Amino acid sequence: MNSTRSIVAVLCDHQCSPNGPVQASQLQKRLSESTSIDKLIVLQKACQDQEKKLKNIAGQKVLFAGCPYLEESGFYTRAAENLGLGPGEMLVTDVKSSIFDLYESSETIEDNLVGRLESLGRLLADSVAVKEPPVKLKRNVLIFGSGLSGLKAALELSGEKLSVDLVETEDQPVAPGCLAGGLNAPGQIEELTEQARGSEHVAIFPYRQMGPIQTVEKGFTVSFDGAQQREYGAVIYAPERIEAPAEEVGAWNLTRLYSRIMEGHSIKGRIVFILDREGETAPEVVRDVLTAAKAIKERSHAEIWILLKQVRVALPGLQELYDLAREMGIIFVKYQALHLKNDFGDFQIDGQDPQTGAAFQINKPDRVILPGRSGLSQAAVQVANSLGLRLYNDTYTQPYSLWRLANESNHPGVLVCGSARGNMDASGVAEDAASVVLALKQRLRGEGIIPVEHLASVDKDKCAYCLTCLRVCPYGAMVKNVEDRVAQVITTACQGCGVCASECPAEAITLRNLSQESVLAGMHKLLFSSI
Amino acid sequence: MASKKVCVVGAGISGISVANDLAQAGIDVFLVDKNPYPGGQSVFYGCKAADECVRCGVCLVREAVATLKNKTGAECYFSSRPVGLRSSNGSMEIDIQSSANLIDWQACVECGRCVDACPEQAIEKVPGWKYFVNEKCTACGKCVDACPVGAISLKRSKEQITIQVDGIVLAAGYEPFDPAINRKWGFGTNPRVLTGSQMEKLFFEEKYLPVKAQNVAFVQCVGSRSTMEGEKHCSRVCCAYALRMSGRLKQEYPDLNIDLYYMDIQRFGKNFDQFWDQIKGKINLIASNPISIKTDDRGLPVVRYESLPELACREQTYDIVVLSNGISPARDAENLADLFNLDLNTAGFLVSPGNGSAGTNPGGIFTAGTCKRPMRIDDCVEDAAAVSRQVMHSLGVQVYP
Repeated sequence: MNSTRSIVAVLCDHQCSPNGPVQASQLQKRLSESTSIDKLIVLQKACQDQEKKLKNIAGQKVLFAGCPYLEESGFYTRAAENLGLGPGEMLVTDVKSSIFDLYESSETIEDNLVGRLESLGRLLADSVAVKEPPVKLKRNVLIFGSGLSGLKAALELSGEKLSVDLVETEDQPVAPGCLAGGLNAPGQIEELTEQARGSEHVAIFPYRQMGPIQTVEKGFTVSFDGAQQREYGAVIYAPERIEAPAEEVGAWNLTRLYSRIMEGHSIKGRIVFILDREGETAPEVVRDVLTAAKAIKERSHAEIWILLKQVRVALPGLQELYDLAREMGIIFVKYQALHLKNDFGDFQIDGQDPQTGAAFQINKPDRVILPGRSGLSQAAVQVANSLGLRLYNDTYTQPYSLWRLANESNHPGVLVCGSARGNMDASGVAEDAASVVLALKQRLRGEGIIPVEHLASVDKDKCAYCLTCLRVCPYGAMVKNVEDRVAQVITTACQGCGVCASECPAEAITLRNLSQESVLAGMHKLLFSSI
Repeated sequence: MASKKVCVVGAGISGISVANDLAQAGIDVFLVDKNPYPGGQSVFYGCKAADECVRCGVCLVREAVATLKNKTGAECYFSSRPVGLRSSNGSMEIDIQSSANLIDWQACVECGRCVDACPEQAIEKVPGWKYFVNEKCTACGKCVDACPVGAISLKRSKEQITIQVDGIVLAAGYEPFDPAINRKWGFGTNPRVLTGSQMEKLFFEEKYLPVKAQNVAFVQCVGSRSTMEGEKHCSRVCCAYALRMSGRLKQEYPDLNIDLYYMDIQRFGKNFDQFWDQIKGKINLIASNPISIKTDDRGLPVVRYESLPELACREQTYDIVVLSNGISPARDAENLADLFNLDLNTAGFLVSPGNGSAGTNPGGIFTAGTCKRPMRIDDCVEDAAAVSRQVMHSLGVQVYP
């Protein structure tokens, strides 16, 4: 850092703001008398020919004081680039025109502004060396879960010459024939596993026990099965979703049906699928059901009934699948109320047509298939908790920013991929893996990591448990602690915006400053707080 | 090595997201759009948060536009369209017919004086972006005098530019379905029958309902899942936006009675669950596709529908009827398909040339966003990320430094 540079203040005259020119001339007079500023340059008609003038001051520290319009149009950024200034070497004050209206005496403003500029100049001279290099994370990645999404992400990353460890709990076979990879994308999972095993950048191994995940400066450290600590720059969370077993004795869930079909069993007789029985079946599950029904029909002469409350077609290609299924002779029945009589595997289904109200009955079907709710396994939930990911409905992971952009979580270096984010089909997984790679790029460069400067904290004694904060928090970072009857902050989700602190009627929430030691953060605050 | 160049056709949410991602990786991006502003359809949508955020994704569009303005150094050609394409060993030449922008967006300092000066309200502000001149302009020249930086010129001129690029991303977007082609909807004859797109504009202006109303009906599947109207596909967004809108209306006007006519509620993705449980108790859900929408003596729309529990035709009068119109293929999809040598599927959307959803092909032409299939805003953002990754891969740009 070249500390011999002198400080130059550049004052842009306020051509664009209402009282601008008059105030600017007064300000210019005061600034020229200031001692901490070595040189003052005034840009007349700042918006037009400013860049020529700035060439004269290249190689010096620059303090800009100018109109906010210029800031918004990116003028200062461009000027800084032209002058070759680093982030700590250029400061911009926002002299908003509204400030002039706020104060009656223009002298007060000038005092304020001059004082602020002077203190900034002093700060700048002292602390330019504080500029920190961006944190570069280590270039190896840990992926939890070796399903379709984990494998896709691993292969995408190994193409970028990052070393990848793909881990899976031991009781799960590595790369099981999961639902998405089974019938919808035949042979894909085996092919991908083969590719991954052949790649020099990918290591696949099962583990029995996982040590705690610790955050270190450049990433994470984890140990598996008591072995040596391994260090990773980023973690991708891509666990498998497991379908719950069917709730009725003798009925199958989809996973069981799939494995039967994949093993080559032919399924015959009268087969009844019941959808929308408890809650509503997701369209991705409907697709799995239709694919399975199609596969059965192709292999044997089965009579297939699909009972549903609503036709769900909101996925690409699902409408065509419905049409195809109807052509193949699969019977669709809309029902209103359904009663399932189960005598140890002998079923009797009584239903009612929603349009006519007429009752219908299906007697002794050979097989009843009830798609179950799918969710994360216990092991996957544990991993999510230790990574600081939040679970939504106990089934999907939902860090606050997950929906906004590719798979990001608030935790630096932790990304979520695949069906842990919600029901997803094979093409969705491919899309997801590609966007994970793009998001990781930012993380590994240290770009995507924005340090949170403030964090909300709740005073337990003052909290009235009115839950106003839960309603107002834009990031969903507040939860209720039912036992203690207080509101609680999820620290990984809190962005320190302060909405909760201002809304809390009991004044129980305060913002804690996390980086008071950082001079740059202090300067930032000084610059952008109102005078 | 000279930096690679990519032309992105369409500056909607998908196009902008692709441009932002590519520019960040050091690729020179040319952004072409037929509108005089970026953002496409969704930039004029309004936030639908009632008590809490319902994740409609409108803020994502504004964020993306602001990033384009402040960070991305993309070269933008607005009021322009591609007219020709020549390719020879790997590199392509694309001809762009471009009209000069009336407001030079790089010089504009957003003081807003032109808006005050204009007598015709012909200058509009785009959220996250700057100003543009709409078709109401009479070229009176008052804004030219008002502008402090001389950014406005009202000379309209056309020119044809040729740029050499290594890849092209098509993000041509969609066209909202126009219910006027089917007279049963009564749209166009009765001003109290609105489309969802018109409602979005009202939400954007924070007016919500144009007149005082007691009863409001939403009609789903207008221009979706209908063989008669030639749109057999499901538009994937209408159920969600109609429910989000009714939630917001219910908050604005607590006494409002809202009926929703539907065929099947399409629950899609996990964000849907979040508000479905809250909203379904507040509105009346009627499982029926209306037979017709007529106008009564007082000028109010009458919805005639088949009531399933009673098995009879019933008529109900409303103050406002909102037709949840679906997503139709872009109007110039056929021209684009001809120009870029792509196929159209049976619904009329562009077929992505590769196998995956983020399409790629050896010719270097990619498709992104709603020109492929109906998508929500956050779907578009994710798709754009996947497509830009594919573009980088095919151009041999290292994603990591």
